[in-house]
Amino acid sequence: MKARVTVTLKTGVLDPQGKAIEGALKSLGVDGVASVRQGKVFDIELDGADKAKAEAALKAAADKLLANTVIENYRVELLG
Amino acid sequence: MAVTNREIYELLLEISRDLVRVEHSIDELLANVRALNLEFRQTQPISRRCERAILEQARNIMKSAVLVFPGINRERDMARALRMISGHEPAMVWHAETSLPKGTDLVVVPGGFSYGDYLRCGAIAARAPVMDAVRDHAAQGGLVLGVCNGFQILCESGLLPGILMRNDRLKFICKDVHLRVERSDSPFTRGYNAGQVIRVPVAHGEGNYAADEETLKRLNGDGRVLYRYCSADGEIGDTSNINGAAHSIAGIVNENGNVLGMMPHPENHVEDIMGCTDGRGLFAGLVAHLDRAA
Repeated sequence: MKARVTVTLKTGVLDPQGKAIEGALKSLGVDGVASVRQGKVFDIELDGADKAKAEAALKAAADKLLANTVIENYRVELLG
Repeated sequence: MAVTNREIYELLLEISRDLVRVEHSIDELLANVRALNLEFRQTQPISRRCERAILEQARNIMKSAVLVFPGINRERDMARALRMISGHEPAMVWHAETSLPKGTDLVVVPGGFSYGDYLRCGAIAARAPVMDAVRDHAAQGGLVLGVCNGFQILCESGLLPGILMRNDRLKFICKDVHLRVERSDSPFTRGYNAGQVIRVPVAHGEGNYAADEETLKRLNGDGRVLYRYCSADGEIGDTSNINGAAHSIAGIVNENGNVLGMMPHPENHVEDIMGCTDGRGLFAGLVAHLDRAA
């Protein structure tokens, strides 16, 4: 089973890298960019077909390692 | 030849005038010595005095362990500083170990780039097997010092609150900075005076301390910020806050005061050949602390 965990910065947390990318996009002349926040995507392959089990495992992975919940939120998606 | 009483009187008068002059000179000399001594105390790190007094009797008192993770590169500097100041060879403990050497007083998490800073700085090292032993050590009141990447690892492991974000100007900073020692009554600062300004190097890309407002309020309110970035004369402000850290925070302790994380490298200013010895006070203070506790 394939899954995706997306980790994003919480609102209010300063993101210097996102700001730098935002500035670069503006200087490249890409129109309409209001703001940029950088995050991370983890594509994970899981053994087995039990969706509930998979979701629990992904949540554990995100809580224990993939995200630092002090500053980051995460979203778990099962891609089938 | 007979000497008249008058002449004796004159002579005694002269001698007493001389004595007054000598007394004045002595007073002047003493004042000079006092001023010099004061100047010496103010300009020299207190650690040197502290050190001389304690090292003779306190050799071998501080047993330290330096953790080694793949990608760490400051562990030898740290071990050298510890050996030089505590007089005891630190144990080097590999990250896969599940226990610390018996009788360890101080665990040091050194700087470097553990696991190449993959995922987040310190994130993977914080989950290494040895960190459970460090957590137990800290829970029992044992001393833990994290420097640079070590600070990041301690934050990621939950031993310290908050996180080190990318420097606000996005640049890796490698230079000497000034730190203000906020208090001297902690094991990690007793080699200094409160308010003393010390000069130590930094070398990091992610040293921008961040935490939620509640945590910051507690850190400041409870006196848990031990070191702040400052100017050469001790002023705190935007220009001296090299990486944008909240409240110019360079080093904090946990609630019990036995775990310190700091971005600057005190271990790199401990010998005259390094151009500065301001970092010695931190280590000498730890030895003094353990000496008193023993």
